Amino acid sequence: MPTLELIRPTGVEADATLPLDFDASRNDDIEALRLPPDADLSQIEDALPRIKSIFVAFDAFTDGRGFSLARLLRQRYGYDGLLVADGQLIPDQFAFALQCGFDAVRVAEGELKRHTPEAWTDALDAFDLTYQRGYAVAAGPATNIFDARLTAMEAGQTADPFSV
Amino acid sequence: MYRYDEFDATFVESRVAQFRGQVERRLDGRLSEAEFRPLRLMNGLYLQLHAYMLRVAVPYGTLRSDQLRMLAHLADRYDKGYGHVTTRQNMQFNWPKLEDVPDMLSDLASVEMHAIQTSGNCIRNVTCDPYAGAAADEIEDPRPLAELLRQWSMLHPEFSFLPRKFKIAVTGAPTHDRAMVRAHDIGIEVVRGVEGEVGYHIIVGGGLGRTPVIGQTLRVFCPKDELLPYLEATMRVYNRFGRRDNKYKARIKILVRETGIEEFRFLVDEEFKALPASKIMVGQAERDRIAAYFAPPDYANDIKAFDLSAQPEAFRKWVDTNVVPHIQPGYAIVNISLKDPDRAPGDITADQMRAVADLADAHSIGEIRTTHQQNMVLAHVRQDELRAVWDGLVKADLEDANINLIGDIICCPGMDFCALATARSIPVSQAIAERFNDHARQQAIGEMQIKISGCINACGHHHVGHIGILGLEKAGVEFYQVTLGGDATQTAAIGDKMGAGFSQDELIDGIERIVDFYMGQRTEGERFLDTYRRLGTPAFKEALYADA
Ligand code: HEM
Ligand code: SF4
Repeated sequence: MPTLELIRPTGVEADATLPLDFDASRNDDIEALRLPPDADLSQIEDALPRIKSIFVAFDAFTDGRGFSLARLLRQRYGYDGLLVADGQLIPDQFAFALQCGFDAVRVAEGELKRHTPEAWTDALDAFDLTYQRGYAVAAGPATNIFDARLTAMEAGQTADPFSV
Repeated sequence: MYRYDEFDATFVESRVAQFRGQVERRLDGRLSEAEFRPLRLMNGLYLQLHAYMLRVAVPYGTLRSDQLRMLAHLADRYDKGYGHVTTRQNMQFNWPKLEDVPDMLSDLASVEMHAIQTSGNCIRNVTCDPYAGAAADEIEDPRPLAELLRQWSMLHPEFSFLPRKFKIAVTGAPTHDRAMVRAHDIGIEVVRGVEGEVGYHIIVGGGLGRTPVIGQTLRVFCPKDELLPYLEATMRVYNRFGRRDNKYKARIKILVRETGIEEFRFLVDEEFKALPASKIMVGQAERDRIAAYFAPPDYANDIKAFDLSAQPEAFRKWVDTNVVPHIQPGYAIVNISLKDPDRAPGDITADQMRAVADLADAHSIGEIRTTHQQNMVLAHVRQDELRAVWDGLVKADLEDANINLIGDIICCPGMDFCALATARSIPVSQAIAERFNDHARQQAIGEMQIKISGCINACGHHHVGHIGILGLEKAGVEFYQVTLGGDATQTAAIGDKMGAGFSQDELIDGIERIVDFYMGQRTEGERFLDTYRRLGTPAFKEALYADA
């Protein structure tokens, strides 16, 4: 396996061994778990509090299943450990990954020649805004447009009632 | 019409800047073609037979006059002086250069337009009834809903890398579906619930292409508040479970078919129940804000009855076919045909765009619609100004009186422009238009939708044409297969395949035979489709092959 680089430091050894098959009956802490894009999350649900980091595999950057997995892990299963998008992502997807709940992206080191670390961080600056409620993140598109409009509307309503 | 607020404007500017960067990275090699491809597709940029092709989004088919003028400018400046209205109400340019595209997108952004999500495996530009807000048969204007969906689907972080493209259409007039909601991945009809409240009927899994399927009901009634969370649940099920192993089986219609509608609905409901709906939905205040942009115009109510009998015959014919009733007394909806037999269906020159924009300013609140039939609409014309509109159209060579008639053909680009084509389609449509050129005859035949595709991808919607034509190829020879009885409306049906295919010449004769057969058999008031349904396939098949 080639050495892999994390875009954003996470404190996890980049080449930590990641168990693919998973024994739910154990009850010790699990350092890192690797999930395929078609993972059935209900099978790991009970163990989630013990899992410290999850690496969701992206076998091709055009395969968007991992985005839904992240969203589900965070929203439906309340997973709050480290979540890494792992594999063939490109910088243009960095914000999407964070918005869906990933903490970091891990790509093969060789990829960083074309897609430099600066390209990854620059990509986060492309948008400050997002239309989807619940997908704003401080590090990427930080403002939800619908929420911002509502705030503006409410501010307008509570302004000086005597002004027109 | 909707106007961008500061957020919408900033968002689109960010998008243009982002794409400019992506083009630079592609040109200097930092992005491979494989990586660039989905990114450019998400910006409406295709690589075609001759060149790149840019598909500009016309959200729900609505344009302001200044936007149409900008499209005319793009046609002149970056293309060959014309544009093409697509069956998803967008405007396509067939000859731009890659280096020019960022500038084209900047030009578009200056009039609140973009090409975002007109292609690629994402949620595509939402389409809509072209008579929205003007039709008497509508429960509620569907455009505020379409605009909300436009915003919600823009660069969706979770749903921008779907198994395949995803098309949504909406209509506010479920009794007269002019938006083909049953031929879309998701179709939404505005309906009334048991208490009379307005909500949505959600249809899923329709689509044409290689495997034509009529959509089925996913949810009979979805309250307005629940729409976005419910759609997110549906999209998530599709994103996770839609097939990715075979691109011809990747559309949601295949997932619904393989899972079964009951099980699919169960999966969506489970997902929906687990979602934090209140955190996803967009509330009444925002929906009202959007709806306010689509408030009816200030109608005049002093419009005098209009005496047609004193008008020239050509004008009266045009009124008969191209003008339809409006919800407001004294007003009319005008259809502008882009089906000049000498041009490709849906093509419009830059000068014509400017002429239509001027007419819209003078006579229809400065607003223009595009239609999935590849025509245009002026939705709010005073009846006493119809003559002025017609005079303007005559001057612009846009007065074809063939809306919904046999000359109003839908046709894909086919072999003339498309790398995937197996046969030519534009020449076939021109030959049919030529054969039935006589207006009186077209009028006598009545409502007739001919739809032509140049290969099985079915961009020309042939499956739902009353007469559908599919161009194929065998051993280097083009031939054409006919389907009959297709229907794109609320009574949607996939046409029945006839037998052996025809050469182009035989085809035109065959079509003439079935048309004549229908004329001989029809009873009072029957459309072609009605007669076909009454008499059945064998009778028409016999007529089609009578001479062969
Ligand atoms: C010129 C190059 C074009 C190419 C290469 C192309 C390619 C394709 C392909 C491969 C499909 C099938 C997709 C699938 O089933 O998932 C498709 C579908 C479609 N295309 Fe095109 N197309 C082109 C132009 C057009 C134009 C100009 C229009 C509009 C006039 C159009 C309208 C459509 C529509 C409406 C469908 C959808 C059918 C459905 O509901 O599945 N296409 N196209
Ligand atoms: S139907 Fe086939 S030939 Fe026609 S535009 Fe689509 S892909 Fe091209």
